[in-house]
Amino acid sequence: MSPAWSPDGQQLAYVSFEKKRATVYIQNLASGRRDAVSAYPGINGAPAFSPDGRRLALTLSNDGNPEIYILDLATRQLQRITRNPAIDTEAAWSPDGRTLVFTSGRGGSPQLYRIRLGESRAERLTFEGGYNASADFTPDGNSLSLIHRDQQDNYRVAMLDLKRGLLRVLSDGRLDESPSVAPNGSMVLYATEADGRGVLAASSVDGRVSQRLRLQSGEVREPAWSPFASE
Amino acid sequence: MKSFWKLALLALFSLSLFGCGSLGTRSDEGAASVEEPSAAQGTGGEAESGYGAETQGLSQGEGLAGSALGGPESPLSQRILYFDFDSASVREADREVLAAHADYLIKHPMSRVTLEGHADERGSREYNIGLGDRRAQAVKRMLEFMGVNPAQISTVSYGEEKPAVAGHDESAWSLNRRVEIVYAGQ
Repeated sequence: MSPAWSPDGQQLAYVSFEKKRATVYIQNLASGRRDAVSAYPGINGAPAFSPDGRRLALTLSNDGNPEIYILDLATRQLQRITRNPAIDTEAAWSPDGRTLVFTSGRGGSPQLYRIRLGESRAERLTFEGGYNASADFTPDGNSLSLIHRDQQDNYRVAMLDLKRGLLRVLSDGRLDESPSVAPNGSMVLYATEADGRGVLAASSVDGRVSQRLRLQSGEVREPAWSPFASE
Repeated sequence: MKSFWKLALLALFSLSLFGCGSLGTRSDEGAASVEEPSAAQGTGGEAESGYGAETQGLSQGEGLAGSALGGPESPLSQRILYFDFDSASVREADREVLAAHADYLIKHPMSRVTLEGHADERGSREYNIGLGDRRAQAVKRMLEFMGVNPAQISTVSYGEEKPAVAGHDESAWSLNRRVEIVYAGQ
């Protein structure tokens, strides 16, 4: 679960339970070789490469409850980012690599928080609704896509304008999840449910256009846009 | 600029071998897994056997023989605890079942359990990993409080990744919010 592209598009980090415990692997797509980078007792999850590709944000529960850490991929040193008895997970890097947005239950329900690296205080970002999670930045760093639970208990994709603090709902499903912003910043891909199975859908960031992506059979989950190929 | 996009859709058809498995496959010969929510089970005929009375067939210090865990009537055959939405509180009705497992674990110091924590499908997958972990930790703490050596207990959270029951409504979700007690060698 939780596939995450490296910025150069060469590697994929993901969580596997194949050993009946959680392990984060980084796999080289060309060679197929992979490396277990995190196999601490408890949760090893939510991998996210930094924009410079040198670090991996991770969720570990090794110190007692799910917290966010940054792993330096060269030195394999771990730096702890959150310190809170609530669930802290799903770190997302801002494009400038200086802040993390993450999901935390510290306020009593899952909400999005932002922390500047090097500082210890996290700032809450979402105040509408009792459930906001799964943040992903737009390439310009000004907005986030996220999952928001509305008043009718639908889990929907929304955009949060970070400067103005405005939330706008984009999708219309009941159980939407895993939003992923396209590298050109104009569309959000996400997983939804149709006829009892998992399918992918895409919505433009302004909410005007949406479509379901047709696949012949089976379940599809957790889409992740690969990075731009550089020219 | 479409040519510069690589739209890579990663369809994760269960990286490992999970699906909506039937819990019936977990049973060993001696101890049948009970799938109904705990409230139905706790008040049956086995209530009076309560604490420490299921010593029939227990062999001291042996590995895990199916009969040592009692037959289908024994509280030890109940291996699943259920939870309310967004909650990691062990239900009052489940304490007796946990006490029976604690008693067994104390009497068999070589035995090992894994507590598998799960959540229903709603919301963030990674947050649900956290929820499953909180539930498993809550059960672990209660077993420790009842006297079990922590070295006998390990935990894992599968979040929403291994539902027990397929379905997208509360009747399915309520059966997926659970901790499963899995004995080593089972």
